[in-house]
Amino acid sequence: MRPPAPMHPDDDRLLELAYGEASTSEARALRQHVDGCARCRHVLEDIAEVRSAFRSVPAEPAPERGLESLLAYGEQAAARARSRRGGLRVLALLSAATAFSVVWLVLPAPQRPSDGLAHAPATPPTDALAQAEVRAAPAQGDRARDEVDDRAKDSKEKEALPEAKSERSRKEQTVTERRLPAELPKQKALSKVDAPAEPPKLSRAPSDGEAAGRAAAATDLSGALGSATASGGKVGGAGAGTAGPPSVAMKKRSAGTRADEGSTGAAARPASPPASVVAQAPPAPAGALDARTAEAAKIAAAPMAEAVASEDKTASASGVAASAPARNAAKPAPTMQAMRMGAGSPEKQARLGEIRKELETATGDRRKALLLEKCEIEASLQLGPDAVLTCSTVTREFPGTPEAKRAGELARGFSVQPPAQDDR
Amino acid sequence: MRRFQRGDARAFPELVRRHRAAVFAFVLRWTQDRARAEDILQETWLKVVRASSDWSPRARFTTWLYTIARNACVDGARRERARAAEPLVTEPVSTEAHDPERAAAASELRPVLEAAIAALPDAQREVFLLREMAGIPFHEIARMTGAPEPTVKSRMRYALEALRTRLTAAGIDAPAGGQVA
Repeated sequence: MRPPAPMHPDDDRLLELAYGEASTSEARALRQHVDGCARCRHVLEDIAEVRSAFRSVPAEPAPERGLESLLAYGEQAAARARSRRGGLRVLALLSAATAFSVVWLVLPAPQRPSDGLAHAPATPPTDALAQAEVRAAPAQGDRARDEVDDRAKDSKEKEALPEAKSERSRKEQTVTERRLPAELPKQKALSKVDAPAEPPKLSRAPSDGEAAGRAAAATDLSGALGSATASGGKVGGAGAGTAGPPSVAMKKRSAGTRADEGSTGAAARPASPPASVVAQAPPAPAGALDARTAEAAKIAAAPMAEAVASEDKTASASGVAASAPARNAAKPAPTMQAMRMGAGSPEKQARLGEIRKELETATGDRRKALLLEKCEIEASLQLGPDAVLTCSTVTREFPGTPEAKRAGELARGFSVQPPAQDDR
Repeated sequence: MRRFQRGDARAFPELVRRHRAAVFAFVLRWTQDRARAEDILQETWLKVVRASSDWSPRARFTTWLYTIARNACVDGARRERARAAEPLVTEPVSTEAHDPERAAAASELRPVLEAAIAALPDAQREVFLLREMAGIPFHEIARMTGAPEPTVKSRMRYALEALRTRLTAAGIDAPAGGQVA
């Protein structure tokens, strides 16, 4: 009688063992088997030989070309990220302050502290977000502590915000119901309709009747602002929709828009919120935020979400990447910038299309001229990455020519400018 | 990467310094063409910058980075095929090793190895390079490429076998030190 054939492990298991992907217990069992099995040992040795041969050939060094422009582009992106973070903090602070002021004005006089608004700034803010923002900024240069601080702050804000809003809302609800029990439904209905269009008048003291209406409106407003603050990237949508008081917030926003459109340089622009963030529906209001707040915020966010979603479509239509990560990577900043351009850009875009088509077959001087023209158009349209790529193609393919020199200058034009607001 | 997302200007050069050469080597072995590899390298890093806000710490940065590079390679190959350009000429590869013995061995081995890698079917070359050069585990390669994990492993085994056969046929013995990981 012949001895039973030895049970060899699956070749996939041996592969996992060779690449260190087998679990500890499995690896131990496999090794025990391999020690006594010539066939499996041979399989492992073959794998090891190929790996060893592959590793003995040193890798090619990466080229220096394009490195400088790449680093400049990265620095520019970092500056934009800093600027965006700074902008969001300021906006959060303003939103919290506005919400606080509205609530303060709406509160009936007997419930206020004796000196009223004159002493208001000295009062610690009741809003948790405002408290968090008012705290002293961490020292520059200590990034680790800054990160830990920020994370703690974020989570604290997230935890505290619904409670603060809930408390505030309960208070307002009690006051409103005590004063005008009969008129409440009517006032609520009115405030739902009027709140976005008619800002509460902050300049004079409210009468009793107005107070109730404002209380409801304030609940809407502070809720919307609160949720916008908590959600960070969604500030644009919700803030735009409340359209209310908040001249400060509105001024801030319009100033940001102007800076975005103006010629202050790419670094000074507040970056647009990512499409994935803005396109999401506003978060479901927590705690005391009622359905009206959610509805108002949704309505307010819709145009922004649509605009950004359409940019995404445009970007993906023009992109070349096929799979998901590459599609994400090819996303929209350039298209966004192109959309901001004034008159003349459609012609330039059309010309770009023609050039791209012609470049597929053009060679020699014609190719050189087309590439330079493409580079110039992309630079004029502020299509930073595309311009850098095209310009570096000119310098690489036609080194030492005047066109290469010009392309180099254009690529360098996308240098970094100091951000408008630094991260504090 | 997290620092870069937060706007730390020093983080990006650090990322580039750590990974650019490796990504270039990966792309070069994939494309077998230096000029194309340079373009794809640049394109990859520009995409990294543009998509930096999409990166989540849940994913390993290298996996994310090589996914972008791999997709750029696939797209580049697709464009090249569509363009049906003239046959590509691979530039002679410089020997940069400082150790003369190693340099000599590498100069003998490199052309054989490069040719053997170039001769692999695309799917096998992809898996081999992602595992061997980028160090991406098989299950992640499966996710990146959309192929089942057992398929990825069998592609890897076929690639290793083919390379081994080529090296043996060229009379090249594996350098000393070959051992199981």
